[in-house]
Amino acid sequence: MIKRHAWIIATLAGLAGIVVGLGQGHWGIVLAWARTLCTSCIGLSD
Amino acid sequence: MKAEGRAKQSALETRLSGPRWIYHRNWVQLAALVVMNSYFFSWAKGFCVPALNCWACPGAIFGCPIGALQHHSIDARWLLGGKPWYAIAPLYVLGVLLVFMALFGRMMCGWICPFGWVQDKLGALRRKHWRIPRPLGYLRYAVLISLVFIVPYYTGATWFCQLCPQGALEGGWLQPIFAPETRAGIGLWWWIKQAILIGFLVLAVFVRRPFCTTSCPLGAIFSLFHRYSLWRIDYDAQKCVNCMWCVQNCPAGIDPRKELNGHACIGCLECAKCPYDAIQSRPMWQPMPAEAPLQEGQLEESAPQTH
Repeated sequence: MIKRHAWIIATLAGLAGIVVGLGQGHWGIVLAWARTLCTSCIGLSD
Repeated sequence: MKAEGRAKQSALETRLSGPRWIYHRNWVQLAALVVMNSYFFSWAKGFCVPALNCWACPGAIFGCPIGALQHHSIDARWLLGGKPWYAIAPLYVLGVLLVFMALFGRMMCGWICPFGWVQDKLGALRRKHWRIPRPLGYLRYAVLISLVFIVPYYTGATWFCQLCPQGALEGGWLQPIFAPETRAGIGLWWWIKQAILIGFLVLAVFVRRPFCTTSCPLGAIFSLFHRYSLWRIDYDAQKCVNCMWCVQNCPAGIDPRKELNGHACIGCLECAKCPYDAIQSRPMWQPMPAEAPLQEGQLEESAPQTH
């Protein structure tokens, strides 16, 4: 029973996480990280 | 002997089954690669695409969830004590991943991951592949816990990114081409990253998806829920004639008869083309179709003698 419906619980938990995270401004935070070129991450600086 | 094997394979391929859409996986992977790196809409980088696609690629339009998780780990060090836990925890990134893994399990690895597609293409160069010892699959969890969470937290650096072969391919190559000012930064670390990339690419010719199988932290996250996701793959031992078609054609190099929906399965559904309909994919709410009895003598006529 739990196995069969685990995906529903996980989806709801994921959606709750998204809502809370967005409420904390995480979209903007991730966007800022993504737009900043991290040259050391791709080996273009030491 | 080889010719006999090919003839058996061809005979089985005339019987392939499964829904039509599973035959278009290559085009879906290619389309995902193009869409994820289609240059415009940089505002969409706030969305973490559920695949390993380097956000340092000049054309990337989405964020990398593993990159974002590492940055969250780094930020947590400075923010702990100053903000409530829900402001620091990567709830948004994990929430996006949780929704995708609840619905599709690890299918993103098999259907939209660009680096998976590259490894599939290299793997197709050979018919026979070495098998990776199964315990090495657990290395992915060690990579996830250490390089994505613990090491970035303590060092303040995105260490998985610094070693990531996908970043070496997309960011490490394309940035110097499209942004010439970055070429001056090519040094020892760039060469180390390229060596890691080349190592995995060469290995991908001889071993099925070596990076996904041993090192991908995103695959490790998705595989945690693969068994319980909405989209399932089922194996019917009654219909199976042990023709080995699924084993020989699995892009993850597993034995789908034993390891279906397991942590190494990438949900590509290649095995769902089973010539005998013994492996089928379906959403959780749909029951497995009733067995269609084989005609008398069908087994002897059509199943090749293997092993």
